[in-house]
Amino acid sequence: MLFNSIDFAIFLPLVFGAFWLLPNRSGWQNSTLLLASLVFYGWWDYRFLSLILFSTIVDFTIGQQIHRTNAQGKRKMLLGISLFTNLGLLGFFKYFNFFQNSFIQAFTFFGHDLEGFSLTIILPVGISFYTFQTLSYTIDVYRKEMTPVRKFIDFATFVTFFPQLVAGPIERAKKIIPQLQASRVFDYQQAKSGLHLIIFGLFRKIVIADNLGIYVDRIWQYPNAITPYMVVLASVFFSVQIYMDFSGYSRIARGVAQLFGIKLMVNFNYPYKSTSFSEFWSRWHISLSTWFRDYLYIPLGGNRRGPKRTLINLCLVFTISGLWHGADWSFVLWGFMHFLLLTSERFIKLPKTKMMHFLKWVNVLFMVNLTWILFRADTIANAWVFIRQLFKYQPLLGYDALTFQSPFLLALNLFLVLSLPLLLMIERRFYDFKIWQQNVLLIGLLLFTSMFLTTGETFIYFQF
Amino acid sequence: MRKFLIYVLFIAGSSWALSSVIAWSFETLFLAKTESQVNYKLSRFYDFNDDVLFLGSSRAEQSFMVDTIFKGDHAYNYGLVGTGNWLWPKLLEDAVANDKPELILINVDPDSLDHGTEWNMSYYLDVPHHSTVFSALKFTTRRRIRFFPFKYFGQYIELFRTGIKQWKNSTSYDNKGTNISIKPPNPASFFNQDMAKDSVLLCKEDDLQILSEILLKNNQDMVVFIKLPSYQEKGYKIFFNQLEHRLEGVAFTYFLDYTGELSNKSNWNDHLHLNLDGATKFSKMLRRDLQLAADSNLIHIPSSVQFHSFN
Repeated sequence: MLFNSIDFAIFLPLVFGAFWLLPNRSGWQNSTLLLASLVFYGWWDYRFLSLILFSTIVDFTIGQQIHRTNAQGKRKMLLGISLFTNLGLLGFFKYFNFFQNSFIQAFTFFGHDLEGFSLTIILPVGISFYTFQTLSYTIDVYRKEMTPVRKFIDFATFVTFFPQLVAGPIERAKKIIPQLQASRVFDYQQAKSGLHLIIFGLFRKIVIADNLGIYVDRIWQYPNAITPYMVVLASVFFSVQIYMDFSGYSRIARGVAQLFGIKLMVNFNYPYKSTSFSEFWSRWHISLSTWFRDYLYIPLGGNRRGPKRTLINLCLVFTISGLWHGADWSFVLWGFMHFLLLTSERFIKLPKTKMMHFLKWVNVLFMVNLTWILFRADTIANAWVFIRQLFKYQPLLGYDALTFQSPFLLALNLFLVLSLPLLLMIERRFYDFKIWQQNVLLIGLLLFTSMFLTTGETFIYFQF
Repeated sequence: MRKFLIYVLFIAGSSWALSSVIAWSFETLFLAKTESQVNYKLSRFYDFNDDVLFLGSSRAEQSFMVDTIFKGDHAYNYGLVGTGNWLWPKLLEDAVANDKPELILINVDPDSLDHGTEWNMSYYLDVPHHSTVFSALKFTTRRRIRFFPFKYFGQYIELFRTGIKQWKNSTSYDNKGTNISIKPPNPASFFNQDMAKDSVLLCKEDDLQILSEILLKNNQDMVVFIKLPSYQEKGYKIFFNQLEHRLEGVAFTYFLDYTGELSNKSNWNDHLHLNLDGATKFSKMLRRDLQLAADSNLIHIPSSVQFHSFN
């Protein structure tokens, strides 16, 4: 079920009504949320409910077992089972064909022909997100940073919580489970701000991201035939599209969770304001960055084992992060490029002047924009074809149809991109406005959103 | 809780009321029953009962120049972008079901009848709920086609887009359902030519069965199947020959094959669609052949229409 669909517009009020009408006890509330979450996930494909439930049962049981024993060897073994099960499922569903093809290509390159077989594997929606979420629970219990959950319903609600199930934020058990264990009382202000987040999120997704997406998709259909200015437009538009798409989803998720008295973490903090790559990663997909920091980078030794080891750790984290996003070498390269960018800024020391601050901002924006091309391309070869067009002269007139077939769409997209700072400013200062101004803004945003709500475009991060 | 619900109703209700007023005014003032309105074609199909119907995909919409073939206001091009072979059999079924004698000209692309999509749900906003077309729509599409004023929900941009297009109609030839881009051809689209069918395409038995069943209900309409010119032939002719062969004995059917015609790139907007020049040439050829067939009593032309006589 998509947040931007009519199905969800019917589903949410029903769940909201049931949740607050039932007795005000955490057991009832969590059962309602669990049932709703299963319906929400099963709406896409009910067969994969078994997968998520299996993962939930495994981690719930292992969490209990780890807590019960003090023998370090057994604790490690149990953690290993959890890691093997969760990463095994993720690996099979997401990476089986990718690794197999890569091996075959590598062997073929060295003159050994191998015959492979390709499995038609459907990637379960949100598997990368809920796998990391359940893993964080088991690891935290192993590290004795939290005690295991006693009630299965509470844990299952945490894993399947529908607002953030399919595209995050990747929450931590120690933050969410205490909220789920407490009985929630309706809070008008919290629900109201949740509604505001939903409206802003829908506007970001439906009005901005989806419209930019139409244009970007059209250009990427013919990467061989585009002009340099179209390369620039498409990459700028995609940078805004992916930000608005994913941050829009995160906002809706936070808003919906707030309607049920649950506070989720902020996943995006104006990333394109960053003046360094490390700052960018502290503002972009925060829940994933912090997950990798806490469960991979720091256990690997972080920056405590000397500069060489720090570089190796960073390289590992970023390439694995790239692979987490998608089963293709283009994503690995994307992650690796971010590692290079992050590393380069560690070695280059620049003066702290206003002009330099501005130039650093431009540099981060430009480089992030460039790396998004890898993210958007299906393959590295496609990304190369796209980038090459930047340096290839093509007569403008010939490509008229691609860009100007819909002058309305182009004008609209340019307007949306140029007015983005205004939208972000309005969002940031929303509560400084008077009540009537807030209402006018919300009605206006919803008016535009309803105008564009046509196709129920899927969110980009659903594929991960 | 009550305070929150009132707040939600206030925000959502105000937004919905405002958007309905805007859309309603826009449609009433600028778009009411105009050809550029996206739902106009199918609305007209069921309201007007034209005597000559051109059916098919975007290739039909961009190839049959009605005014070049027939005089008068009783012929109309109902080809629709993005519908492939999906829509026209349903329209054909609805057309043969009424009592009016008609001439129905169909462009058949070499694909199965389920190839193609509903494409744009706005097409179907005014389709009668008892029609074959409506009952063939996906449940989700049917659910989203609502009654006034709900039907505008999510349709505004299409209304505005078509409104602007109508206001400044400088990018296409738009007449009696024919819609052809008059902008320079787009070489990028020719890059895509490899996507054209490159194998021998066979008529699926199921498709022939569906077509036969529809045509067997027909006892007065003349149905002409037309194989439009194509930039790359690749299997198109074999497909059409097969269709012709299998429907040979069905009454009131006639076949016109333009394989190999207009293959020069200068006649094409892209590898699938003729440009204005190509469409004009093709429509003149079609007029000539229809006239010859009518003179030889191979097809019947409704009395309300006459062929254009200019060259």
